[in-house]
Amino acid sequence: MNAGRHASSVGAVMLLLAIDSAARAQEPATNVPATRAEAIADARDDKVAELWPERQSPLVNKVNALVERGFKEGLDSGRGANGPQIVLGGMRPGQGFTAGVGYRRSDLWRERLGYRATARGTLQGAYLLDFDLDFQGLRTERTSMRWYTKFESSPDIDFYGQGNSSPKENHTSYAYDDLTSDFDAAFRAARHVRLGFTGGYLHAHTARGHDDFPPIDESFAPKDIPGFGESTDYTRMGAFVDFDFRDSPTGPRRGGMYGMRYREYWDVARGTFAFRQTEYELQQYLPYFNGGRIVALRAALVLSFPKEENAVPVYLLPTLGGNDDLRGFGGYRFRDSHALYLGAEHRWHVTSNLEMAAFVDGGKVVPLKRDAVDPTNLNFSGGFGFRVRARSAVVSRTDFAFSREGFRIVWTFSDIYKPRW
Amino acid sequence: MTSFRLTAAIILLAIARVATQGTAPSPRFYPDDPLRSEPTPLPVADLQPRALSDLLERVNNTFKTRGQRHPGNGVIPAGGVNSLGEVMDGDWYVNRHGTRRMTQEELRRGAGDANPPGTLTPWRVLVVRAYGVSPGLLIADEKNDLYLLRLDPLGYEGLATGAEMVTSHFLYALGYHVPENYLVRFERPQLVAHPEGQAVSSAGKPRELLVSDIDALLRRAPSTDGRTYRAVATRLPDARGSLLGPFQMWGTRSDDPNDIVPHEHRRELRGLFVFSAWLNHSEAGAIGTQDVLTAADGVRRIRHYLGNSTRSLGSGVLGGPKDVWEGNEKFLDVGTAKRNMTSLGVRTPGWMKAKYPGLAEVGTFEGQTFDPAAWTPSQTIAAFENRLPDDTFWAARQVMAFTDEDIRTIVRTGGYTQAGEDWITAALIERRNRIGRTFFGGVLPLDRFRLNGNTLEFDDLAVVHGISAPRQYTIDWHRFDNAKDALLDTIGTGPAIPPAAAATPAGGYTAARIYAENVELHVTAYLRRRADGFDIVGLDRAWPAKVIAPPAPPRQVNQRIFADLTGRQQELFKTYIDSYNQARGSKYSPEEGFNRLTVSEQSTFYGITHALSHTDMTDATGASLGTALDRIESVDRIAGQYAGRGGDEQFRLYVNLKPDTRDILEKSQQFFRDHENTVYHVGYPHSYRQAGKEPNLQMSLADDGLKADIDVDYRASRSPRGLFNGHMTSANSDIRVGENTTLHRGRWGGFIAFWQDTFGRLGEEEASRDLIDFDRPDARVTPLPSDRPRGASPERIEDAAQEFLTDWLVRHQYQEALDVLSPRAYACLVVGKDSRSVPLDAGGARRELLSLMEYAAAKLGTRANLTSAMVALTPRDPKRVVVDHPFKQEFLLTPLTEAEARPYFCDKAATSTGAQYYGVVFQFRTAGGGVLGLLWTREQNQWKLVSYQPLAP
Repeated sequence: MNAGRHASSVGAVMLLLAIDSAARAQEPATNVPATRAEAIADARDDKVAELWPERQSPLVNKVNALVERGFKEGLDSGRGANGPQIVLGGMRPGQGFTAGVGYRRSDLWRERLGYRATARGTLQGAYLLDFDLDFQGLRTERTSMRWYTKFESSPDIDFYGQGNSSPKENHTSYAYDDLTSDFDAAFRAARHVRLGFTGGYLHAHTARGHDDFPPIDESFAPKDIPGFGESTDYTRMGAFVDFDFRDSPTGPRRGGMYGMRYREYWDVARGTFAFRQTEYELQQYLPYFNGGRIVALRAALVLSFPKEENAVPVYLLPTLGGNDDLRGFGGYRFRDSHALYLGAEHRWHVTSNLEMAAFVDGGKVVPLKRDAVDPTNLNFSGGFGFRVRARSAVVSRTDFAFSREGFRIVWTFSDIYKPRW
Repeated sequence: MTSFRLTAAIILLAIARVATQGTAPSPRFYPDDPLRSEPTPLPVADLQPRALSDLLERVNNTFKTRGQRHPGNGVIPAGGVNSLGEVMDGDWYVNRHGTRRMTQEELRRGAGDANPPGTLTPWRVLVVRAYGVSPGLLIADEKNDLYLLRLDPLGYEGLATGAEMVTSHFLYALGYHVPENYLVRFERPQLVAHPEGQAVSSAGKPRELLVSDIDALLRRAPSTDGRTYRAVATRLPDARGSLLGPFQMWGTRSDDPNDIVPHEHRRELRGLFVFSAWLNHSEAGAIGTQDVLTAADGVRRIRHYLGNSTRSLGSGVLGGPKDVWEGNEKFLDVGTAKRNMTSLGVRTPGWMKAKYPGLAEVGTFEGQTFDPAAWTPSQTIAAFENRLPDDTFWAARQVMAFTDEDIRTIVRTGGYTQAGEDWITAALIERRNRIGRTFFGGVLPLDRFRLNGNTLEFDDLAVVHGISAPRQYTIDWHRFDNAKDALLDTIGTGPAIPPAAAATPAGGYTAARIYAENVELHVTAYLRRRADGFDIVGLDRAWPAKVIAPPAPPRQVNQRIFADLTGRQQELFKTYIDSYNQARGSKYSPEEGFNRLTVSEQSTFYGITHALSHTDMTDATGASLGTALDRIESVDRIAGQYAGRGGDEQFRLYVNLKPDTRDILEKSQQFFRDHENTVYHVGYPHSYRQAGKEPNLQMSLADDGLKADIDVDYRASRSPRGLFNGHMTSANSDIRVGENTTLHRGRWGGFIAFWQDTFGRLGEEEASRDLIDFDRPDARVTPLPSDRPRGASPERIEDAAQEFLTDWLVRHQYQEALDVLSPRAYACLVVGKDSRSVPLDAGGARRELLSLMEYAAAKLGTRANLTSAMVALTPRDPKRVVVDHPFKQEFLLTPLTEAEARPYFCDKAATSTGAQYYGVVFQFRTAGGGVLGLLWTREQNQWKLVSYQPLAP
């Protein structure tokens, strides 16, 4: 209530003021409108006296320019908009929160050439530099070509030994740096069917990892960690074929993908690590309730076969565990010559940009191929998660996963079930 | 008569006379009502285009409240309508199919079909946008007409183009201005690149147009047979520079003198909600609109168009079919998200199970799960949020005017296959019917009022359309006081105009209130007498708990008066008022002009000029350069508090500077050149900021150095502090908010916060409200308990206060009301400062109070409940304890310690008792109604009223 009102005042006047306090400033001697049209004209005249230019905010220009930089296509493709970018994620798992910068241009040489370069890192000391060149001009409705080069340094790749039963107590780690440069060319043989060729170079270097763990070369015999402690150059060549009818590669809601990739690796200098690796990928998305619910299924199989008297280097063996498979287990938890992964998710719509999911992962690693296709002795994990979408892409995924080895929270900036190529 | 009574009577008369002179309310109806068309608009000057950003609009609409909403104590009726509630023909809307049935040919033709793109020669492609959010082509045909070509997404031929054709035809028939759209089919050779054509690259950069750009665009479009493409060609206006950009769905255009009704209150925009629901245009909003500078009837004006309907019907925002939640959920709705999360996917709304035909051209569009009341656009649209039952009735009436045949005729313009046409037509018919059932129930759906001889007739649209069974109506006739907008005594019943009405002189008014089963759902028709009969000139639709929000409080008697300004401030203000008078054709004196300002405008002018006048400037040698105020030549505009505007458009002065001001600022030690204003202070990029800690003046100069925008920043502007301390908000420059006044005084002494006597300090949130906060969450009538027997002593204070107020203002049981008066309150009736006056005894005080209470009740008139008599207030101090009680909508109840209550005691010398007190504060719900505070305490186990104080509103 208001203070300061003097008590000795006329109660009648005060009360009447409360009822009748329509004491406006006297209007000057202007005409009271006689018609509705005059009243409207008066209102317009009042506005005339206060006209002000309608100005466009520079923020509008900046945001529109950002959107016009290929924001839409960049989200849908996962490559980001043209120009400077802030890049999140995209490095090997287990190295910490990844952030960096990038730059992309898709309109070089009159849309014939596009490139993207990024530099990213983590507080744990991992970093990545990459350059992606897209020969768009050579791309027709049926063909595409791409050259991708990357250097990545990961100071802490977890290692528990090889085998499906590798004990958790054997936890150690190694540092792994690699420089890769690959050229991919693909041809669309039929609707949704793609045949491709890939060839490239890999330089790998390993060393001891994190000081928190016993050194890997003291915990394991050399025969258990082939290739560790050496720098090795490889060439690799292969082919791939896939039948990809997903509605979006970065956040599918329907369709499926069935494919395989075959690659041969040659250890250029020593002839010790020549092997071939075959990867199979099957994904199927089953929407119901008009896409309000989705059942997502995935089966992935990686088979590695060393050539005679050669070995598959430890850092190129297929692994399970981490952000993208067997989420309830730590990164790189299981490692061996062959790996089988089976996963299922049930996703449901929360808002236009958010989905929830309940999932179960199963997988195993084995030394013999005959055991790989046998869905027994699987390690299981399960949980629930959230997926944030922007347009058709999943831009952030948070999973809460449980397994016999505990509970993990996964936070990445991409969808689950990403094919390896 | 005692001297007191004489004095009181004289004062009463004086107050009444002043009060009458001070108020000059407009009549309800004018002689030219109802207007069918808006009066000829004022011509507009050359205007600059102003674009919007889809992404920014989406973010702002989702996370901010834009435009004005209905306050909690009532609703704001729609504007831009005539006295019958119809939208007038004008630059926003033209009454078409809903008023005068269009022929099938007219429906098919839409906005026009006389100017399709010519095909005698190939189209010259002027601009290609193959990438980005809205790909398309700009072409010119052999007539040099320009067309914007938009295509369908790959795999969905007909989806977007069909939606554009159908929706634009419906919107035209519904009355909106829409561009001419043509459905065209062409082959690749029809497009040739213009030698000077431009393309927008995938990086958003303009470059020369290549033939491959056209091919790149067409690769993303479906073709019927591998050769033929389908597109919608939108004809652009002849005057190339006439596109001014979209209009906002709130506020008004600041450069359009004819734009006087805030868009969030325009009926045709509120009603657009219903049309958008019908057509499933979930992306309706500002971005799809366009203001076009045009000339009609010799007058340059802005015409407001609706365009870009490619995301309507089954076509979605991502370019393919709609996701099924488009139209059923907002882009971000926290409540829905929580429900969906916690239900773990078990909750499955009906729309999620809708059945679609699997036709690419139809997408996700159907009618069986459509719920018009639950439909929602993807973003919050201010005009949609403000829709009232009479707005939706107006729109539903238009929708129901379309017959099945009408609908099919328009759907056919989409060029669908037969299966697609059948499905979409059936869906639109079903949706139409649901709209009628839903929105005809919100009011009494009577329409087409007419006089048949001496009988008032009307149609019940619900009955006409088979939604409701025929019903009986009661018609009560009343005299109507047009000057006071008041229904008077009943003069008859029944459809025939009663004789008493016929006796009304020409120009007089009669009203007929019509209702069926539910008296709260009624329609009032107003008739004006002419020499030889009556005209129906007005219609009013009521629904349960409809309470019109009281008008804005009047100017304050104790506002800062002009005389208190310094000479220099007065001089500068005179330059402003002179310019205002010249533009307006008015003749306000500076004093009158100053009093017409709102409190925020006054405080802005006073605060900024005070700071300027107390800022002495010196050069590097210490020589005086005068004060900052000396740099101001004249004042162009005073920007106070404006709802919905950004912080950089409020609380500042726009001034003309003396020519050497920039040099002076450069030389002065008190100002430094700051970063250029690149985002805010649009039009005034060169920033000069006062040195030193905040608060400081900021003078933002235009390029010519002769104009500036001046404000005071009370919060740090440097990042990162500036991002978190409210610098970016309007509170940053509002001197009334929080500690800003103290900060101002700290730097520029001698400042008087004239508003604080009345309003106290404004909190941060309350800076969005200029005066007292009327907002309440619920405007429904609070039911009154039964009348308690005389002498009853309610246990709770809120019950005692409610009983007193109800006895006084609703039941007019004054004696019973006076029973709660404590003898301590009599001292409030001690007269004046005349020490010879004798305090009234108890009997005398009761008699005086009785007459005052009767006067007050008469001024308010008959009130059916407390809700219609009063409204509670929000305390300024957020820490003030407020008691929650059933009548919190009607009056504020707050506990007070004796120390807090003492200033309001009638007898200041009263001894301390340590009692607990309660304050009851409310505003009378009447034009010009003031605020009354009542002080209560327990005396002898009863609640007693010990003091009352009127408070300035």
